[in-house]
Amino acid sequence: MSLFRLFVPASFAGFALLFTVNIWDLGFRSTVFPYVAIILILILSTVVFVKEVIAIRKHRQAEPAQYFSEIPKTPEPEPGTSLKDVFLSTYLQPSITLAMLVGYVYAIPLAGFYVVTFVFLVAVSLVIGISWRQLPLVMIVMGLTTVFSYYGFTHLLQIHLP
Amino acid sequence: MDGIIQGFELLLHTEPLIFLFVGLVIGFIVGALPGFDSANAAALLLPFSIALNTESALILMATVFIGSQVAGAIPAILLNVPGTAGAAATALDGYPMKMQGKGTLAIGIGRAASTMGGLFGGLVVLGLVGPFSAIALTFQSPETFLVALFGLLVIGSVSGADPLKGVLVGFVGVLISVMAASVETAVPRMTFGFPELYGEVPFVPAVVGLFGVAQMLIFVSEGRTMLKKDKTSEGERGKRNLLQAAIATLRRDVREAIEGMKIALASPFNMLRSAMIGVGIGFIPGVGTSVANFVSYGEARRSAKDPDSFGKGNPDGVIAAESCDNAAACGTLVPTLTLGIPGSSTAAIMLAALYLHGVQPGPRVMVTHEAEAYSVLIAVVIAGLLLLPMSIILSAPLIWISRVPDRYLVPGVLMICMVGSFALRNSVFDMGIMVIFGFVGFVMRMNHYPVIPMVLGLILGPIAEANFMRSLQLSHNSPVIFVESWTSRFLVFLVLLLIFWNIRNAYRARKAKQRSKASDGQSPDQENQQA
Repeated sequence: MSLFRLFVPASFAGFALLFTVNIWDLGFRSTVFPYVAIILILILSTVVFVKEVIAIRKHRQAEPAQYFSEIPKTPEPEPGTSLKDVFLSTYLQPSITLAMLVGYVYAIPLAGFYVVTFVFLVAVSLVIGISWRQLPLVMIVMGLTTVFSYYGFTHLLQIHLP
Repeated sequence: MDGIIQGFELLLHTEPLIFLFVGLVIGFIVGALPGFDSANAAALLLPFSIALNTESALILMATVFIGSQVAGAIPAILLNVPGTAGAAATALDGYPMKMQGKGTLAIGIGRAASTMGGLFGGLVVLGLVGPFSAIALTFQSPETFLVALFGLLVIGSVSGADPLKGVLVGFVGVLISVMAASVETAVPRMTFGFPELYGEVPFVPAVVGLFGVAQMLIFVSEGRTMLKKDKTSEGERGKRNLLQAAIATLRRDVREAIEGMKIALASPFNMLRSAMIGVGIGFIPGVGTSVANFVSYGEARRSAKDPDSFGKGNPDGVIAAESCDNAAACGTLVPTLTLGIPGSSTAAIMLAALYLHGVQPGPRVMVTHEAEAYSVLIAVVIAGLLLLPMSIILSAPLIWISRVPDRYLVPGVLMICMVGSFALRNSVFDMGIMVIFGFVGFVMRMNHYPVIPMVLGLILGPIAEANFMRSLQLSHNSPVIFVESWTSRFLVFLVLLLIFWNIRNAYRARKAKQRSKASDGQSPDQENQQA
């Protein structure tokens, strides 16, 4: 969990470096502004990264109970709960939802908008923990949302869905 | 004055008036949903707004913002969970009032104070936007670049707990915004061969992802636990049939609103002072309504005869928080329309709506689209007048909406996000962009990085680049042009002052932390007083 805090500044710096590699051989007028932004991002992300490393080291030296109390928005773990469990309890469900979103985007051209949307929404509903008994009501709400979106886009905005 | 008349004429058409009402209703619904704020709703409405006129799109966004500020007080008072960030201070006295059996009275007071604050704020903003824009119009390319830079720094500094993270996110937004063909040379930069990126990163899917998808992923991850807190009134409602319950609720709400209005009007000084604080703080870009709310609440408490009663159900606390809340929402429109620097997250989405309608945000908006800008401000004043009756009519459904479970909300909002992102260009590629930004927004928010600076970076990036390059062209690549005029020197001074202020605050926070560590042996009461 704690090491994950380094992921954001590291990935921002990585993005800036990737951008640098991509525009390396372009002319001055095309790249002067991106380079200014890249330099600032590299400086700031390095400072944030170092600050996070220092904070993690301090937390690790402190009592584990105090460490957990200083992580906001995370429920206090049961005694004996590992960091891996805390991480999974926070990120597992959203990761599955996100993976389904990606799959949904790829599946649309294969199976069509409505079929894939229906399957996707049922899957999301199950991931967020509804029971099979609640599913019909959720489906009614989803159906109404779909109908609203369909009429909103095709009739009001004259946009045609695939 | 001509602008105001033209704006009024523009507003008198059917479409803007319809979307004024629609925006208020959506705002009420969004405000009543804990954890889902007006910026999220505005982001979801962004694809729909493209089909509207510029003024209707802006009116829709502005009234969503105003409506949500009023309705945000309902869950704050009933569940002790603010529906919006701006309603956080309302809960301090509203919830204790509810626990004393005065919940509906507190809502009535909140509605009345919010209405008066919104009306006051709207009128002040209408009067001040002209002089502000006259100053902003003197800006040339170097000044416009510096204003964009200042906006990015100020939003980055105040939108999160750590200014460094905010500014970093802002510059990442700028870098993402230049993932397109160069405006100078038309050479593609970091487009990975995707022709869809040659224009620029599609803005609507990015914003929908950062706000809508990320928020839903957070709901999935954490659950809106606040919904489990209060179910006391459900059994009471369940005993009667729906129509009887609705009529009874309406009667009670009218009675409580009148009573609340009387109590609010009995404290005119508190209400006026709070509204003035709200408008004043709303002018400061990026500070937002939540800060104004607490400043106003603190001021009311400081100047009260019995400050100890605050936090225990004092109606003056609700009046101060609510009248300031809506006035601040109006105040945020001034920097948004005159400088192109959003005063709040919803105002940032309003800038995005301007951008999508082919209007470049910045000082020239008040010249090229003066009538549209004034029509928005007049709509805000009219919305201020409509807040009270509409909030009474929608009261019963709003209380029900504040308890909508995640199992209906999450898939429904995801559905709107997906269709909205697709609809802009009929492109599945845009849905992919939405998913990527949804993931980025989720990870950022889970690690306490603010999202607003990234949106602002996406908006201001191309403006900053164009003006930066134009300035260099004019000065034959000499950076001295950025300190040539007195205005640009002043703006450079402001930028440096902001950097200095951030460093000073960080140093002070560090010192305070060290002091609190040193005083670990003190009693908890002493520590609380220090805090």
